[in-house]
Amino acid sequence: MSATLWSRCLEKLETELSEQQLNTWIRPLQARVENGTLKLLAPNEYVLDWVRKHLFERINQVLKQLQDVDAQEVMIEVGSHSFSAQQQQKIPVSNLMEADVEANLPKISNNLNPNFTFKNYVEGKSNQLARAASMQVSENIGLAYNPLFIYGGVGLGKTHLMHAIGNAMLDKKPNARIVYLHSEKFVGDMVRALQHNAINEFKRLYRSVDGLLIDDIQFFAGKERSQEEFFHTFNALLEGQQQVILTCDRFPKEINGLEERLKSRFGWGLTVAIEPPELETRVAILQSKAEQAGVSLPSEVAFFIAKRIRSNVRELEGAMRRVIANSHFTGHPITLDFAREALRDLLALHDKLVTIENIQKTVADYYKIRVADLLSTRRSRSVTRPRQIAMALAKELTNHSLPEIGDAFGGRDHTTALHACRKVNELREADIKVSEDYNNLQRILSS
Amino acid sequence: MQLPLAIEFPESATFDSFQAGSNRLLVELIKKTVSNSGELQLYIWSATGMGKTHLLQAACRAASEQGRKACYLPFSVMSQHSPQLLEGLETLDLITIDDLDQIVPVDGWQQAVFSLINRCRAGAVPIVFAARCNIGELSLNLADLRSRLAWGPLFEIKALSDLDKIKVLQARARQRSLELSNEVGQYLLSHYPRDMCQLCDLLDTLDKASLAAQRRLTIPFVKTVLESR
Repeated sequence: MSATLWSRCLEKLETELSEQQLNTWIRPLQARVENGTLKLLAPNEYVLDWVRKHLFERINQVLKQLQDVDAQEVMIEVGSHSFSAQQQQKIPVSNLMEADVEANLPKISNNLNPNFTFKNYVEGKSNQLARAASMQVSENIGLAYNPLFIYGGVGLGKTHLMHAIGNAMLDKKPNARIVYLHSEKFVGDMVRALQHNAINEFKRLYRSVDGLLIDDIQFFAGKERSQEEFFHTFNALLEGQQQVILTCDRFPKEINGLEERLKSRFGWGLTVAIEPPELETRVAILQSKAEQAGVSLPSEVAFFIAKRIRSNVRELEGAMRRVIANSHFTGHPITLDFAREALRDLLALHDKLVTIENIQKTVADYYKIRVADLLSTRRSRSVTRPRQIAMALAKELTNHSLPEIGDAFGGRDHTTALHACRKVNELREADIKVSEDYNNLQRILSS
Repeated sequence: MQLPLAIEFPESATFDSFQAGSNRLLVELIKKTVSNSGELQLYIWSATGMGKTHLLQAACRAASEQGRKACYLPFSVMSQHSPQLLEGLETLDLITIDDLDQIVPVDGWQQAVFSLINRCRAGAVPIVFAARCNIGELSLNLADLRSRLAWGPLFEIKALSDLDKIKVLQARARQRSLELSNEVGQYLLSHYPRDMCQLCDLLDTLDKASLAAQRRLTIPFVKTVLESR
C-alpha cells in the first residue's frame, strides 16, 4: 500500500461522491500507512459505522481497480493523529501522572488549564465569598468544605474558579491526584466503561483521586444510571476525606431531574453563589484579560465596554477581542471612539434589547394584554402567568436584582419576583406551551 | 507514515477569490485562526449569498494546504444525522460549522455543539461558526451554548458595494473566458436580485447562452436570455 495509491483513490472518490458526502464522511477521515496496511481513522463511532456501511466497500473496490490489492490491507477504526493532537502531547499540562504508575494507581490526566489561576481571577462583590471559600479548599484539601458547591449563571467564572482551585492544590501538593472534568465527560466515560465491561476500572479510577472537580453538574439531570454511579463515587470520596468540588448553573435544590439524595448531599459542605459582576468588577476583568493578551486597554474604553455589555464575562471578552483585533488590523491605537466604532454592530444589537420596560411591553404584546395589567394587582391567571414570565425574563436578561424587578412590577416584594422565577422554571420543564412562549419571547427580546 | 494528501476542498473556495470589500479584517482573522495563531473561535453571520460558506471552505482548504486536518460541516446536512457526528472532532486541527441557524432545539444537538466547544477550548482547537443570524436570534434553549458562542469575536459580513459585486462577477466571467462589461454588470444589479448567489446563477445562465448562441454579453442579449428563462 502506498501513499500515492491512496491519493489516487481519493481523487476517484472525489468524482463519484457529492460535495455533502465528501464534507461529512470523507474529509474528517485521517489516513496513515502502517506496515503496508492503510489505516483510515474516523473521529467517532458514528462516522466509522456510516463509512463502513456505505463507503468502505467502494473504497476497497477503487483500491483494487487502481492496483491489485488485497482488501484486507485496508482497515478503518476510531482514532486520530492530527497536528494539534501531536502538539498537545508535547504540552505537559495534561500530565499523565507517571509517579502513580509506580504506586499502582490508575493513570489519569488532570485536564487542568494552567492559565486559570487565583492570581488572574478578578475578585468583586459578586464572587468574593466563592473565591474565599475556594482558596480555603485549595489550602486544606478535603478538610475545609467538602463538597464545595459553586453555582451561578452562565459565563460568570465558575469554571475559572474550579481550575484555579485545582492548580493551587497542585502547587501545594505536586503529587496530588486532581482531576477536572465536565459532567458530560464523566457520563461518557461511564457509558464507555459499561459498554466495554470495565465499570470496575472506572470506579477505581475516580475513587483513587485526591480531588474530583466536576463542572456543570446540571447535565446529570435525567441520567439516572450516571447519578447512581456518581452518588457512590461521591460517598466514597467524602468518606476518604478526598475533596469534591462541583459547579452548577443553579442552587442544588432547583436542579430538576436530579435525585433528592444527591441534592441533599450536595448541601453537606458549603454552597456558594457567583452573581453577575457589577460594573467595577467587569472593568477589572476586562483590564486583566487585556493585560494577559499583552494589550493596554485605556480605562475609559474598559468602562465603555463594561457599561454596555452586562450579561456575562464571555460576551465581555468576545467584545474586547473584537476591539483588539480591529486595532491590530488597522494599527490604530485603542481609543474610546475607536472602540465605539469597532463595536458598533454588536452594540446596536444590544441596544435593541433588554430593559425591564422593553420586556414588559414585549410580553404584554405577546399575550395581547396591557402593560398596565402586568403592573396591576389583578390576580387572574391570564395576567398572572404573563407577569411571572416577564419577571423571569427580567431576571435572566437583565442584571437587575430581585428587589428591583419586584419594584418595577407595580412595587411588588422581591420574594414575589423570586417565586415567579422559580415557578416559570418549573413550568418550562412541565408545560411545553410555557416553554415555547418563554423561548419565543427570549428570542424576540434578544434579536 | 502519515499520508500527505487529503481530499481537497473545492478549488474555487480560496481567500483570494473572496472579494472582501469592507470585510478584510474578518478575512485576516480567519486566516490567523486557520494557522492557529489567532482567535480560537469566531462567529460569522450574514444574510444568504454573502460568502459565509465560501469563507469557511476557504479556511478548510487553506488549513489542508498547511498540512492541517480540517472539516466543514453544515447543519443543513448534519441535522439529518445523529449529534454523535460531532464526537471526536476535536482531534482535527480546524472545525468549521455552517448554517448554525438550522440547529434544531431537540435531539441533543445543542448539547453536542456545547460539548464540542468545551473540548475544542480544552485542546486549543480553533472552531468557526457561520449562521444567517446573530446569536440572539438563534433558536436555542441552552443558555450555556449561547454564552459559549459569544466567546470569540462576532462578525457580520458586510454587503459588498455595487462596484465590488461587479468585480466579483467579472472575475468569475473571466475564469470562463467571458467578458462582462461594467455596463452589463450594472444592468444585472439594477434589474435582478442583488445577492451574490443569485447573481452568480444568472452569470452561469448567461455563460451557457453565450456559448450556445456564440454571442458576446451585451445588454440586449442579456435581456433576451434572462427574460426568456
